[in-house]
Amino acid sequence: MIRTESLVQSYGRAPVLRGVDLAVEAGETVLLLGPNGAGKSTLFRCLLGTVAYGGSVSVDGRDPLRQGRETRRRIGYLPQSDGLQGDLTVAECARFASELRGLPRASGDRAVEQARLAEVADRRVDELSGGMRRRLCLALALLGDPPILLLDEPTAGLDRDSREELAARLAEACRDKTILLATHQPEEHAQLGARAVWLEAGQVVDGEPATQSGRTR
Amino acid sequence: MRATRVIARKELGDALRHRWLQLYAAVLGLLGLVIAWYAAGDTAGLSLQSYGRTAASLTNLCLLLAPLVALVLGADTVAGERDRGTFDRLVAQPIDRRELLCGKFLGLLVSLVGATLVAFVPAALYLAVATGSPPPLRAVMFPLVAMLAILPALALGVLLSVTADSGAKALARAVLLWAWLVLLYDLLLLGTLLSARLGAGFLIGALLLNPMHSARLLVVLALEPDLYLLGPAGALLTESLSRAWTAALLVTTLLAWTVVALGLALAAFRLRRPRLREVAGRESSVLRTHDHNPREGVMSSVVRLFARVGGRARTRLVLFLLLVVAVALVGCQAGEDGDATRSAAGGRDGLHRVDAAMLERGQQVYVQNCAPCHGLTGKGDGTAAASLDPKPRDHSDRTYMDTLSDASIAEVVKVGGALRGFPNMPSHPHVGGEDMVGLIAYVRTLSRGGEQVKEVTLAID
Repeated sequence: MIRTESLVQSYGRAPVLRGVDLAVEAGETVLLLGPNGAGKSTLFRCLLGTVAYGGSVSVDGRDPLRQGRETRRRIGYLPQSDGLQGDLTVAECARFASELRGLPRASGDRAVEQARLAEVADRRVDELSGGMRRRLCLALALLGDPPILLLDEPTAGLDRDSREELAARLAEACRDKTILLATHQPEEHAQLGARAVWLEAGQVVDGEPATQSGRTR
Repeated sequence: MRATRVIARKELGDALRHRWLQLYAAVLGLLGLVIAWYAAGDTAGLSLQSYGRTAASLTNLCLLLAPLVALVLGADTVAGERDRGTFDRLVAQPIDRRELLCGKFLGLLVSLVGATLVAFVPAALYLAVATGSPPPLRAVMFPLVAMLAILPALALGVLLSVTADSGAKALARAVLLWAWLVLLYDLLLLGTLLSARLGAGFLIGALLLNPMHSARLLVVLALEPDLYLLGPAGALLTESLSRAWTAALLVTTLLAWTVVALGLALAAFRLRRPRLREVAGRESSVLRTHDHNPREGVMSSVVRLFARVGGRARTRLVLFLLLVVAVALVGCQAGEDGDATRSAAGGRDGLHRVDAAMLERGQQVYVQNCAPCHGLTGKGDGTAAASLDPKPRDHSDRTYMDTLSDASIAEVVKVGGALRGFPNMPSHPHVGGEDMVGLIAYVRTLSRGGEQVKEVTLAID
């Protein structure tokens, strides 16, 4: 479903990915582990076709750079910094996202209800708690029921209760999907029954590195 | 196309939500009302003149403010999204970059054009009530022509936004570009023309190189057939082409600027596969963030200043400050226009009765300063005319002379003809006061077969 070969990417003169080979089968969940700056978010951007890269990438049989729109239609993405426009209301935010995916505005309203945010639908995103914002992000990533999910540290910055709640919601909503999930807390996602892949300094390393620098508590 | 529409609608919603649209329309509308009030007062009973004068002044105001707002908002389109952290989510949607950029451009265009049109309404309503007649078609055309200035400014703003690596940098470049196109370009052109004797080709080239210049000339072209108002390049253009062709050339220039700027923005915004031959072997120690280059000078100072205030607050702050500056500039201009308006309307300030002594003095000034080239009878056949190309003006040609206001004749005498495309006409800074009034009266008599001119309308120094 997702395949990268010799994937390289750099920002300016600084290399970020140095030849990543990765394969994720359909329906599989892979936890992407690694320290900050290892290239996890950049790998996601390459899969989405939102940054240029070298090497070969295939997402559901498509080349993200050449067939960006078709590729992204198959991907639900939850970015690390949520990237929500703070002065929109929750409902406006969800309707805009559904329209961009070619869905009716009502899909956005349904997503808000499913994320149990209907009560705050008319509140500005800026006024939501961290947990609510993350629930909204997950709801937006699930819009249009995409077969692939790229989740970049979905529980980052949340307290213990919110983390557990979101992890449970993830496990419930993401059955039968192909998932690549970047995290520093793999134990939180144990219920996903996932395989772990370690990324360090822009390369996939075998097994858990000796430093365990990616694991922060 | 669907995504473009969705993004354009969202951009329009954002514009309304952030209230810059209302602020811009309110400032423009209020100034329009003030201008209309003055114009109606000065030309009591002359409805067409009231409308024409108001529309012209308001259009001038538009040509100052609309490009500013368009450049600043265009500069915020992509760089602003990056700064606010919303860019990543936006481009991860199933849309392509062309749709994103075009949607943002169209949304802002509709917002700006709509706000500009709305701003003309209070002035039109006031004049309709004050003069008791509806606005003539010609006056309605001005705001439409002013819209043409928004197109290239917005496209240039978007280009700056796409090519800058931060919102502060894009904004700084937009403000400097506005200052260059609207304020500094004219000064530089003026200086160059006065110091070097450059030909018609240079003037027309200079005109086409500045879209704001083209827009202003287009407005003036729609205004009235006074060559004085057209300025140097305009006078040249209309003399070599017809008015219709000149208008067509100017519209084409504005559209070309828009298409080229937007095309470059689209090309710069497209993702390309990089040549990453040695990426894997490079050391990450080469990573350098925001090295300060002391040679960057003005630009880096402005960028640092803007970088201190973040996000939309920065755009709003800059817009507000620049609107204040622009209004102050327009205020100064309106003061000058007011003087000119009062003079043209026959107000007391600029009207001078011409007596026989004054006319005789004018003749002396003419013989000493003008006759060597223009000839004693003003036919352009003076002794020095033989070596001149183009030939001196024929002052006995009434049709032409009647297109010139007294003020425009005085200006050409004072500063020379270089600005109007006649490099052979020298400046006469020593002629002023009653000498100038007498000279103008005398030149007028030459075009009227000796019929004595009794009044000259001129604010003398």
